[in-house]
Amino acid sequence: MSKRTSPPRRRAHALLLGAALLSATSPALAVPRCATETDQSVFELEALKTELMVVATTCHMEDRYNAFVERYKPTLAQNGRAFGQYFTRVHGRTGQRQNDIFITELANARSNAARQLGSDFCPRNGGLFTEVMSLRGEADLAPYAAGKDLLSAGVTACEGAPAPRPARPAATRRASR
Amino acid sequence: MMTKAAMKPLGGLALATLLAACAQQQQAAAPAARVYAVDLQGQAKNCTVPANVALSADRPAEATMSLDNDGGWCGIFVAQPGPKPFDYGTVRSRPANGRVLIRKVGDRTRVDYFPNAAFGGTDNFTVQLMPGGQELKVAVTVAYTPPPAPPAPPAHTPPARTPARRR
Repeated sequence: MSKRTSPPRRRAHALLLGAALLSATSPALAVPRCATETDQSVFELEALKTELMVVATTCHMEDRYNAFVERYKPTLAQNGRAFGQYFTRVHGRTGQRQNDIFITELANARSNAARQLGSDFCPRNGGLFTEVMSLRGEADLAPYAAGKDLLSAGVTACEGAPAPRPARPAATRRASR
Repeated sequence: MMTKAAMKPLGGLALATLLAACAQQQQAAAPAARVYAVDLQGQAKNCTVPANVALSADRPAEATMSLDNDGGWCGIFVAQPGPKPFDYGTVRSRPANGRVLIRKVGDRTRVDYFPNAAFGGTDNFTVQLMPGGQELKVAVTVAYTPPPAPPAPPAHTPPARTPARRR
């Protein structure tokens, strides 16, 4: 009987040990970031576009969103392609599906953030259109998006990417079988 | 009836005077930009930043920031003369161990730094503010105290064998 109870206990201990090691040794709690600066910028710009879309639909600012898309059309189109290519590169045949899932989750996360702001959302975040339309040019779009911290809540840039991650202790791997 | 008729023009006049006074007051002092509650929440308990940062178009301004990593942000205020906030800001170099958020808070622009969870050490980043293109280089020192280790799991004691469990 004691033989039967032993393995689960060992597994539980191994799990505890693994979790303790993981939390003590790795910066895994950091908001995940893409392995390359280029990919990170692609995700940030996509997040900015989604945020502006949420502002536009929530605050009835569709005209301002259309003006934004019209002004930055070449950059946005190029970014959209790079965004799609990222998912194809990482997920292969399921890339399009993963892309759709990410976009949906991103929109949901930004909508939730909007809901949390309540009546402050439109007067506060509506100013994003003023900011983005005052950029000197398309080259400023990505560095501007990088300063908006839109990928920290609910979604993570490059989710599922083969980004360098800390090695997991052997005990954790054994325990998860 | 008489009283009512006499009161009506007087009330209208008083209201008009009041409105005019309000308009004059608004013209005299430009209304301060609104500050939203969400922009004031979540600051790190210990956040030390310079009160005034002199930005220059000629060369990047340098500032230091030190904070305790308790999950909160630490922010440096900058502004155009007035004061009024900058039109927008861009990230020129990212911090290696945190995130940057540039936002308008009332009449000023605030450059916030969020350290990654469980990070302690030094970090740095550069932002550029427009119009003017002034750069601000920020050197960050983050203090992090890890939480106490979780209690050790209870010692393993084999269950007592009972006759009923024997086969």
